[in-house]
Amino acid sequence: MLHLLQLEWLKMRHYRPFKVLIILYIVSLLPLLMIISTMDLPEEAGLDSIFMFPDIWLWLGYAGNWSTFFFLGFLAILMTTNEFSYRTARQNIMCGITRTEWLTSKLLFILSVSIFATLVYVILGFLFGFINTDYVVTQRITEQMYYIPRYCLMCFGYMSFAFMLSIWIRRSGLAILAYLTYIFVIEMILRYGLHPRLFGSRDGNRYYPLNAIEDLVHFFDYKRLQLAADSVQSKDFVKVLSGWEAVLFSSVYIGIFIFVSFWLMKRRDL
Amino acid sequence: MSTVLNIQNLTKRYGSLTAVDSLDLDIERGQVYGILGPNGSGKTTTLGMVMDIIKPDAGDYNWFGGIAVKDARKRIGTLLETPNLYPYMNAVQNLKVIAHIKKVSDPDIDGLLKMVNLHQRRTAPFRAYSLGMRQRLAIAGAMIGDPDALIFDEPTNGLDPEGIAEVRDLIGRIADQGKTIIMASHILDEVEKICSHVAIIKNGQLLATGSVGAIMDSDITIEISAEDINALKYILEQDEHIGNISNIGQEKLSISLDNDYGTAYVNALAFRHNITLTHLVLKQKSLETEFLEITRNPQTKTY
Ligand SMILES: Nc1ncnc2c1ncn2[C@@H]1O[C@H](COP(=O)(O)OP(=O)(O)O)[C@@H](O)[C@H]1O
Ligand SMILES: [Mg+2]
Repeated sequence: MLHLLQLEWLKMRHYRPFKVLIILYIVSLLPLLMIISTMDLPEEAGLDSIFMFPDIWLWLGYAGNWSTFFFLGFLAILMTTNEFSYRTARQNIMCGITRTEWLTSKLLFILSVSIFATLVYVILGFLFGFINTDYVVTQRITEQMYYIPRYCLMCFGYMSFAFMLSIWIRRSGLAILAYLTYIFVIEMILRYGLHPRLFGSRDGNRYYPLNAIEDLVHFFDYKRLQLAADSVQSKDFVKVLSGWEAVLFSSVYIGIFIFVSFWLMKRRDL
Repeated sequence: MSTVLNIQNLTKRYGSLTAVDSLDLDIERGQVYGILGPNGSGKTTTLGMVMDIIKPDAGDYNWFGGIAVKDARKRIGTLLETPNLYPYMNAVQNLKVIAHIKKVSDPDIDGLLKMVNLHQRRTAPFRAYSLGMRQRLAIAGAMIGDPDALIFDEPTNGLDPEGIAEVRDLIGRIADQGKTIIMASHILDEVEKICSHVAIIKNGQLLATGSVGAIMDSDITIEISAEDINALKYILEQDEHIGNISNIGQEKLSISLDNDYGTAYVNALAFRHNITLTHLVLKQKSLETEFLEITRNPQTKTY
């Protein structure tokens, strides 16, 4: 295991886009927070507490949701498609690792990046929390800490989806296009076009893969969401998967992404 | 002699095209084995299959008498088609990745880089290398961990004459270390110069195998003439060891005969019949003529 993780590290440590994307991920958490803080949302939503414990976990998490989707998703695509365009995937296999080991090496690295990204989230969370919370009460700090493992699952979810697309498509430009098109176009069509037509309503249209992963660390928390939704008159806004649903469905989807990656890699020529 | 690679009935189809067609091959330890065939004859596909990057449709292969394939691959250095290395890494970093995969803990990176004459440029990124340098670095990569066998697929393809000479020299030096080398090439001259054995393939089919010497020596051609050319032709026609007889112009004949019989035999034959030869020249066939003949005639020969 360690041998395989080290292999990916040897490949990535000299790869400049890797460093750039990680730095972009870290710095993008901050401005996204700032933007959210200036958004014109209703008073009743009580957004003045977003930099305080425990709300900071969800708000920072939501900022990280976007950063992860873009920067870490792109990282997963580049680190995988490069191996096909440089033809180093075939060279790696010829040098003596198996396809299973090759995929495991990448997935271990993706898992490590997810853990690192979560650490950044936790550190920034504590930092913002302690600075902005006037009376720090230990119980309040830990109240919503369940967002931390969910954040890690979210990172791994986005990256494993990007990884699967890369194994399938192999070309970086096309894989990035497919990644963006899937989440912004295809899944939207599935959820808002096909789903209501098939099932007669929008109920249950949040169980689609990328939405389930997104809802691990969703935009609003339930109570506030209700308030905000009432004031903007949009009931659809309200529907967010509950925590356990998001975890369950994301885990199943991640399992499928990994299974498909192995299946494709094992049966195709390199 | 122990077998390094044994291939049985190996087949690969791309749609309606059969790129490799029921190929059988045996490569023994210490051989420098050329796989010779025109472009598109299935050389790369064959080597890709035995290195597990291309899935065969039928057939089997085994390395080193049948050890687990992934262990076998760690004992083989491969340069398939193009040098496949990370463009953003320098020579040393690239070789370290290969050493890591092969679990070679103390690779002699400096030694290998000196061998391929890249030591001075070792910190420049692979991206900045010329094709010849890339090819040489890939050869250094193939040599990591002191492999038992090496695969070189078209190692001089696209190089300038100087690059070709360097790479051929390098392969010659590796062969001198006693390593088994499998080299695919479409260039006869290259196979003739470097290899001890050769398999000739065309359209994915094996046309001939054997030692380079045997293939070259078989079916010797002799040019011959005498005062009385018709009498000469008559006695040659009666002899069981002499094959094709054809006229070259008015005064010369070209004959082919089994490779166990040479010019002395023909001379003695004429002498017995009181014919004085005015011309007797051994036209040993180059592998080239042989190659061209074999690739026109789709029947497997074993020498
Ligand atoms: N991935 C592929 N898809 C379709 N046809 C292929 C593929 N790879 C090789 N071929 C075809 O298979 C034949 C053998 O190719 P190859 O093994 O590369 O030949 P060689 O290495 O002897 O030049 C060629 O006709 C080639 O066009
Ligand atoms: Mg080829």
